[in-house]
Amino acid sequence: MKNLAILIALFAAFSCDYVENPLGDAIIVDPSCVEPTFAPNTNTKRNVIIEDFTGFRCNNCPAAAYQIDTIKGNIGKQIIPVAVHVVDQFAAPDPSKAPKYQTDFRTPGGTDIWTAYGGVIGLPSIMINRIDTFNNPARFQINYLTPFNEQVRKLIDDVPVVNIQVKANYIASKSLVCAYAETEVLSTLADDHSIVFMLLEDSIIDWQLYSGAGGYPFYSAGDIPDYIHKHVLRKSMNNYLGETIITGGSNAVGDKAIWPSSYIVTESSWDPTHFEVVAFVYNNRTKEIMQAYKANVE
Amino acid sequence: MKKTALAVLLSVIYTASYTQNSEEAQIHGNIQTDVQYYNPDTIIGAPPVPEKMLMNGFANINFTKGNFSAGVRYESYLNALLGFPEGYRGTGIGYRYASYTLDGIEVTAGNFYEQFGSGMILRAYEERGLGYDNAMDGFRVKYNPYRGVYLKGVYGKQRLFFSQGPGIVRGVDGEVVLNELSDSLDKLKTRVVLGGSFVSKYQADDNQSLILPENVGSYAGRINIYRGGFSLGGEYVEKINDPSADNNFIYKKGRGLIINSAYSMKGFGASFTAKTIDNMSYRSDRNQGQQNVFINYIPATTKQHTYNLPATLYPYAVQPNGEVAFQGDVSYKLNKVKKKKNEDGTKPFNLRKYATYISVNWSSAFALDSTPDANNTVTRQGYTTRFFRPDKRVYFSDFNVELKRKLSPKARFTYSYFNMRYDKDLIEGKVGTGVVNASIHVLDFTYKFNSKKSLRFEAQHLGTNKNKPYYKDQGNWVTGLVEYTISPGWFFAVLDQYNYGNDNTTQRIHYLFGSVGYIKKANRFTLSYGRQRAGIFCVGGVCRVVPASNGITFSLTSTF
Repeated sequence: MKNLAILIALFAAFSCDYVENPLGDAIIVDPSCVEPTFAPNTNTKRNVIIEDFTGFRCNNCPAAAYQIDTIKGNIGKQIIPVAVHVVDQFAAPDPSKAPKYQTDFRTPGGTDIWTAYGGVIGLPSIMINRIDTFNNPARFQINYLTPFNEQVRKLIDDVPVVNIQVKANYIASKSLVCAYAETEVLSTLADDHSIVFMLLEDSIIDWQLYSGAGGYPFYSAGDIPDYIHKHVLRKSMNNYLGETIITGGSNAVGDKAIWPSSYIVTESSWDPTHFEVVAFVYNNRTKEIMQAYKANVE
Repeated sequence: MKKTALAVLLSVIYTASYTQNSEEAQIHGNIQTDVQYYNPDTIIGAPPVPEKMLMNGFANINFTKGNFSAGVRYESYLNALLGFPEGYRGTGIGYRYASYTLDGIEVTAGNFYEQFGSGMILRAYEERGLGYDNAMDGFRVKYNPYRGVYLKGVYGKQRLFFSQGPGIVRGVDGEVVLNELSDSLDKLKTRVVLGGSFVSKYQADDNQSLILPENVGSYAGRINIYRGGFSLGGEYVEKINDPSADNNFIYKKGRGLIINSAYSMKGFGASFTAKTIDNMSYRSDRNQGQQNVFINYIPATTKQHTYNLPATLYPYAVQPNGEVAFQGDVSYKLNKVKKKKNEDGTKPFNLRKYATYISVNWSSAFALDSTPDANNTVTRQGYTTRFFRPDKRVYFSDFNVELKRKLSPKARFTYSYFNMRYDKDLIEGKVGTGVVNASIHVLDFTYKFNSKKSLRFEAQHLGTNKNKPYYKDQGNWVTGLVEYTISPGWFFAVLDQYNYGNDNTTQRIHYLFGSVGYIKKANRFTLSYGRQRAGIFCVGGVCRVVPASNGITFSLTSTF
């Protein structure tokens, strides 16, 4: 019996990993950032984030991007596209094809999103406000060949349960992006909700493989050297899960709060004049994005 | 791969039957097939089904010979019936095992189901109606080294539809029945059972934003005491940091405690259960949702109802992320009383000519009294809470009374009353609904024409409270059932549910459903047709949403 107790104790001791510092060395908000003032938020519509899982060596991906661009053109600023470059096979640089396809658009945050929500259908695929469209395992993803215009349109007339507005600026001397989001609860919320900040870079010119079908009419099939990569996710500023800001059942309609986030840009190839910050609030339980906002970085 | 596994298993069975010819070999099993033809029905929201017809089927085939047993379960989902988890697609061997017992050791290779204690630390089980199957695949050893000492060890992966979850689960459990340790202890009236478990899962850190624990351990201790009709028991479990999609990747430790007590004597029984659960979702894949690859099971502390309206409209699903729950149950038999005949020889009126059975049950589940961690961004501890402290928010409550008695040698009835509070936002994940307060009355009447033929009626009414602060939901329902049975072969039933109180007049719909069944020896055939209402199907506090459907269903079950 004694030997058995020792065995179990050893088993217990060696089968547990206690993590003291979950975030490692992550920076939360830089003290150089200054909180802005926000005008009253008069928005009454629900914005829609379309996350496009893509890769520059994915020949069908321009077709998905074109479909999203068309929807955004038809609906307007309620649509917030985010291009998430994932999957080594399609998004990793390929040294054998130098000088083509040498930029790495993959990000740790993007890979986390793909792991948590995607990873099933393949590229290109999209998520609309992370609504649990299909049953497990392909819960959130929609294949780009499935027309999703109607699903987007079903959301744009929704009355938002929470409102959000964002201001962001870039301090060149510190290569620092500062972002602040003001949230306002518009409806009693039963579940916990979190806020996520994303840093995007728009209109990056780089290589793209294209099948020639379904994409922008002005591109030809093959390796495109000057493809315009729109709204590319560069950084999940407060990691892809964000921070819980609303506790279910304990919020009141009209509750307002301001949430900060910042990021020091270390990549010299990024163009701050093309930076955008997207912030969104999602339901922790269903993962559905309830409201989102995109601000250009000034 | 599957064919290879089957071939190996069959050869093992053959070898075992050949080498163990001193004892008779037996093969037994059972088969079930459910086929449904679907009609689209826009009124009730039944979607068109591209295949028109869907089928679930399985066959268990078990072989035993002496101390050896082996078996397979062949399963088909072509494609899975509506409402069943979509991951079940295709055909294959969902379960196969071989097991041998010798000199106090039992070894199982392949799939197995297992439970440590109450299940709060480990429970691998199957609930076919839910599509729930988290069977382990690996090795299990059970060992009885001394009298009264029982040890178990498991090591394996968990079933995820026709594949496996990425995590590896390993665990040990020990139980000591103190009275069995010696003859003198065995003579004591009080019996005591002690137990302890340790379980650990391994899953690689697949997250680039967080540092995730790859080995997550949990441990539990339990005690059960019995004396006469009285019993008292409890189990406490703790789990180290286990960030997952369920808890929004917080690193707070999990814990749970359940205490059961019961007393019974002739004609009377009472039980009380108290439970607290705090961050105890424990899966072998931290990114999974729904009911997939749960390592543990949180015992339900609500009564599982069988009548249609109370069972399927507002059943409670246990909240592994946190709840404090209580349940009390009392049952009493009011014995019959014989009265002497009147002086004129007539029989006096006797209200207590037959025994009356009364049972009262109450259960409530509350939110945890918790405070969000203001520094969660850095600590990712999520919240703080005081142990076993309920919040004011009531997730669910159910008060019900059942009265059962005979009216005559041929007639008997059961009357049941239920009053439920149901937090629809929380339990169904809705936004902006509210708490439903429903009162339900059920009258169940059976008349036996003779030893073979009987007729049963059920009348049910559900009314929802329209007053603030309650949420009316779909309003009032009424359900009627007529069932005619000709034993042992036939039964016929017609059921109608009518949502007459729906504010939306187009949704005041009759859900008419008829079924015919025939039983011949070990075979049972059932054919049914009609509309089935969307609802929630729960077993033991684990639930799945069942969508509306309209069509014909054929079921066959057979055992051999």
